Amino acid sequence: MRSRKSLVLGALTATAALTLAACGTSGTSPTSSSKSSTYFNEGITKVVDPSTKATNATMTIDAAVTPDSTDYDNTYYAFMWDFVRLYSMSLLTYKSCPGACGEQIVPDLATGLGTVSDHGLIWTYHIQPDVKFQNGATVTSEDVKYGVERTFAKNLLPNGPTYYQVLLNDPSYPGPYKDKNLMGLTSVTTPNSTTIQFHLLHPFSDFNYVVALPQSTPVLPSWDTGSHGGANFQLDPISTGPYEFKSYTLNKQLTLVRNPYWKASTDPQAKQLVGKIVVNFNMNQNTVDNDQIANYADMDLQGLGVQTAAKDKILSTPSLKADADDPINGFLRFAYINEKVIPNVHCREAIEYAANKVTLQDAYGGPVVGGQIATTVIPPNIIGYNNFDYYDAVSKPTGDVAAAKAQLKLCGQPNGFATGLAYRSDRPTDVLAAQALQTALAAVGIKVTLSGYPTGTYYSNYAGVPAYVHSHDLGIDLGGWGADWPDGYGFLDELSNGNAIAPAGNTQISEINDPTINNLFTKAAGSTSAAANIPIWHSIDEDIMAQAAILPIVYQKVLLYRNPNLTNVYMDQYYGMYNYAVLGLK
Amino acid sequence: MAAPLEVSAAEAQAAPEEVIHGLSGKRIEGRSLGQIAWMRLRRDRVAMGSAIFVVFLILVAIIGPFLVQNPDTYHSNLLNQTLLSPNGSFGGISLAHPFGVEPQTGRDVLSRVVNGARYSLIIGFLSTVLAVVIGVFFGLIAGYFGGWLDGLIARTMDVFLAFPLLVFAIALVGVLPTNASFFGLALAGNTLRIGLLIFIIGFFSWPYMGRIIRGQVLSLREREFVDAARSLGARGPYILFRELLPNLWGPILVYATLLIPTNILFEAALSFLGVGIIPPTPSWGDMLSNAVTNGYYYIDPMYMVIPGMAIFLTVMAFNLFGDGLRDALDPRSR
Amino acid sequence: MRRYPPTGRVPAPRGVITFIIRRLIATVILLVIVSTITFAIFFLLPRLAGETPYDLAARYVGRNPIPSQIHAMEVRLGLNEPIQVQLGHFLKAIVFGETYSNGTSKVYCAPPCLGYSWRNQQPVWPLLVSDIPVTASLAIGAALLWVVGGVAIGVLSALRRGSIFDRGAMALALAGVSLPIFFTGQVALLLFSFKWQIFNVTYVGITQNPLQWARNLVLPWITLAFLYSALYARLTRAGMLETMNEDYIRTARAKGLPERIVVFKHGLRAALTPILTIFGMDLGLLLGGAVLTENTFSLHGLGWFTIQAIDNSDLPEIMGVVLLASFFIVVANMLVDILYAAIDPRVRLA
Repeated sequence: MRSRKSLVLGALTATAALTLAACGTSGTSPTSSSKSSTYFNEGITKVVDPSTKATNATMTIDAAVTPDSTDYDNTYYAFMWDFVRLYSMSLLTYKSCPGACGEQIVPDLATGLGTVSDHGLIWTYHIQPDVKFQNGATVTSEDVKYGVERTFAKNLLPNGPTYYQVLLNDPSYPGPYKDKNLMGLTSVTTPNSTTIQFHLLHPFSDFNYVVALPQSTPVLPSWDTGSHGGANFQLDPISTGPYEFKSYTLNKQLTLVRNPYWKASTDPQAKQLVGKIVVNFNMNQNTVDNDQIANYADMDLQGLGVQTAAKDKILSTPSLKADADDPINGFLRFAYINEKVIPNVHCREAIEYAANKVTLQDAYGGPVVGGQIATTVIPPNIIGYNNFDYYDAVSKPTGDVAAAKAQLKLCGQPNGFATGLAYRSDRPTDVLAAQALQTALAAVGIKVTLSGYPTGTYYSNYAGVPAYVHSHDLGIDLGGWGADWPDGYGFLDELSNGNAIAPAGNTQISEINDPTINNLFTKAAGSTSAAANIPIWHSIDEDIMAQAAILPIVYQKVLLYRNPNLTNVYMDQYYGMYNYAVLGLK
Repeated sequence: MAAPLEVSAAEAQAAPEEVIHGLSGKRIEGRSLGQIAWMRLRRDRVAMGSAIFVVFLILVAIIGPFLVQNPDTYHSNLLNQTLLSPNGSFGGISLAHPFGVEPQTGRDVLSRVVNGARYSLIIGFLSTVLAVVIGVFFGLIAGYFGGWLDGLIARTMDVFLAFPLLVFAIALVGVLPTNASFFGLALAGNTLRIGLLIFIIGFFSWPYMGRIIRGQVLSLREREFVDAARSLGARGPYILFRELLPNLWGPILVYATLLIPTNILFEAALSFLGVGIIPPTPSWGDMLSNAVTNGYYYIDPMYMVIPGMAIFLTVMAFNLFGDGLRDALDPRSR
Repeated sequence: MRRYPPTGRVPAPRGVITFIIRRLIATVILLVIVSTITFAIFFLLPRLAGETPYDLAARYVGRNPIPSQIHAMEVRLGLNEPIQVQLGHFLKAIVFGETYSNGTSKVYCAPPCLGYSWRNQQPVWPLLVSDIPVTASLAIGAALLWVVGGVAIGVLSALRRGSIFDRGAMALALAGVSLPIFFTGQVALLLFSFKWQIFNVTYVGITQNPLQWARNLVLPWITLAFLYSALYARLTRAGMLETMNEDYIRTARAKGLPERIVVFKHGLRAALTPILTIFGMDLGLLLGGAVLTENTFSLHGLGWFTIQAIDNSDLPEIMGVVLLASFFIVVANMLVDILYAAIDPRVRLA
């Protein structure tokens, strides 16, 4: 066609125009809604805008994910553990205060921390006598027992923690839905309506932490029946917290309203300051970020921080930056180095020296919003942290090629060796970190083949299956870890205890089986003083690093935005995000 | 005309009509059709221009990777520490990095684009070849033999068209293992993935070709030369491959050329959705995907624009060339 | 045009009713075939790759599972049953419904029961139904735009062939079909939503706020319509040019009919017939889930649902959405055939 030349020109011009418009300075300066006298990072150490003012306003919370379950007996996400406190009280909970203070356990439904007897095998808790469910029924210890029994129904409620199954003396209890004998859990007894006793298999000094999980929330058995119970309980779980479910469209929208039977005097760690809370699930993260900044929403539920676009806007606009916090959230990003696939410790040490911490840190977002270069397994805000750096990660962040090569010689592979690297292929940070590590190791001759797997099956079918790891030569496996509770045990046990190696769903991917370490764990479990355990955690951490079984990458940081309309905003050091149980609106 | 990627049946439907009319008008010229078409094509400067561009692309794909720097070298020092965006404007364009560098890693964009060209073109071409081979075969026998065979094949093409295409491709790639052995050949990583992509894309686009060829054969089979061959004692296969097929090269070529950009877009879409080429091997769709999921497009729009333009120019070049070919074979459709 | 007038044998024309009935039966058979093939693919492929029911069940339990937990999940999901039993359950449930247990009672899942989602332990059909309005809003809105826009531009281009308008429009159309939609969508999102903050793209239901619903869909509509109208403009133009060259047009003009009647009543109608039938098919395909557009604009329609289902390897959800999508496509096919047979007397109803 004669005119086709102009066709091409026209098409190219159109696209060029579009292109040029896209370039240029990024970010417009938005209008910030209210003038606040706060400053950047204030929310990490102080309560921002403390207030007891209660309103009838509606708080809007956005989430870019869906909950694994809103049933407090069936969830394992950190943000859900934070959020369920709005409609549940567990026996114990974490103190609602900023900083290290927030890692203390305090009684919630219970009147005090557990008392131990019988050489550490029986833990007794007393509950407050006048706490009521949302329908006015009084909470008894039987209801707490029923809640714990529900966690055994793993075919219907598979997601929650499994500590009760492992620690209690009831190996074959199938859960209340299948329990034909109606005997219930024999290892949990209720001598009277305000006392509950747990009978453990072995002493376990951290049992208070287990009870501080949402699974010790009381459940009224008559609420968990018919079409309302079992797998459907998540649609309207019975509440003992400040709010109750009004309506929940699964994975779409949840509306909470005030629970009239909740009393502030029985639950000082939570507050009832707004009339209604609406949570919108499954949104796009960019929309969530935008909504917060533009004041269409008050909070981001997931607590993993804002995305790149919002990061740029926030960090480059002083008024927005004052409303942001950039804390370390207690998560460690690291790589397991499997001791069976790479048995020689010097070969493993070569990997530690050769890794380029700067490019790895960049993969997670860089020094400001990604994370701090890590040198230990336990992160800074966890009880048991000790600052040491065996492989010069801080003094030589781009890696120490000479030292790596020296280690390679010691392990008999002066020209390097080949191994596989597993990572989660649908996590952009993992993808970049895998590539960064591959490139860095190639510089000393270690040839890494990358294998990506989807997140949903990473632990259940691939990296978490030792047989698969061995047969596929996956010597290096990327991972991330946040402890179930903030002490050395919670952080280290499933990463380094020889007894924690599981045939599937394994998180002890390094397969460390060191009798010294195993004995230290047993000793800590039997001890009676948390303070006495601290040197134990130091030892284990140092042992792991000395064996080069873990390559710590970064202590994760997240850039969180606090909407100026909120009151009582501060970062909860245990959950690693803002404390949702105390929020109010101006 | 290329099918857009929310798959459209449009061109598969309308095109055959035009080509039938066109070819039926030209039958008399006989074997000099090719020469006349070639002359017309040569005069069409835009089509020739896009042909040259296509050849250039192929050259880039073959020898380019040897001429540019290593696509996997990190340059963290070229990035701003706060947001890890490239220092300098337009994504860090400089003499050392003519297309700038990638955010967060500092890898050279030009070398990644050049390396990515390879896979886009390989998958685009080979999947089209597969689609053409299957489509021509089934189209021929459906159109010629008619009856129940035609019905069966037409129904099968319907079944293919009834599958949500993209969904299937994603699901298949996701479900298949990361290494496997087929026929005793152990395949892993990208080799396996590329093979899978070629197979899936080609396998799902054969009805496009099949339909067209079937239509062509339906009109051609009543022609005198077929009768003549039959009366001389020729049987099915001979007629199919020696009489009908040579007359089909025109439409085959045209629609194959128009199918290539569709398949390139298909592969880009699969990479965009995360089931294409496995990183760190560069691919255009993957770069676009990173630009989007990691939010690079906000701090460094050039990083999104460059692979987008690369895909756009490649696809447009093939479209233009295909248009030119079709016009050369049938000027009435101008 | 989906069928070419068969030369030689001319079957006797049949009634439209018989045609419809035959097509309905064929549709049902087609859907059964599609379900079976889908099921087989998603069922067998992991097995071929060496995955056992235990491995599959392991995907649906939480962190640090105990083996008994995984076995319990295996049983609950019925993963140990052979493929024909599982497929049989699935097909039976669609027609007759099925009763499931939620632990404390039996719940009846009315037909069409597409099974229980493995990940969510909830029936699939209501999950799908709640996503249909989003995809429908996207597809129908964009469809109206592109049909009106694309055809209008194509007709005008054909009539003013060679003019600036023609060249400009065809240039834009060429760009339209050559740009990947996930690229144009992202650029549009970047400029109009994030930079200039003109449009918000969060989906609002039409019953909640019609004005907001339309406003928030403008960007996805235009992106989708840009792509399709480019194609339709090109097709219409080509069709119009062809038709306008026919003898009967010359006759009509010679008869002295006004140009408008010639163009619209005679020319356009003939050119449009194949376009309209193609439109039906495209709409059917889009209703099954415009995966790329929904992904780009984060619209939670059937396309989004599909991606999530695949990511979760949730077989009931995958089966449900694929079956629904195929249903739309196949029904659109059928309607198109009926429409075409009704409009175009040249086509024999075979």
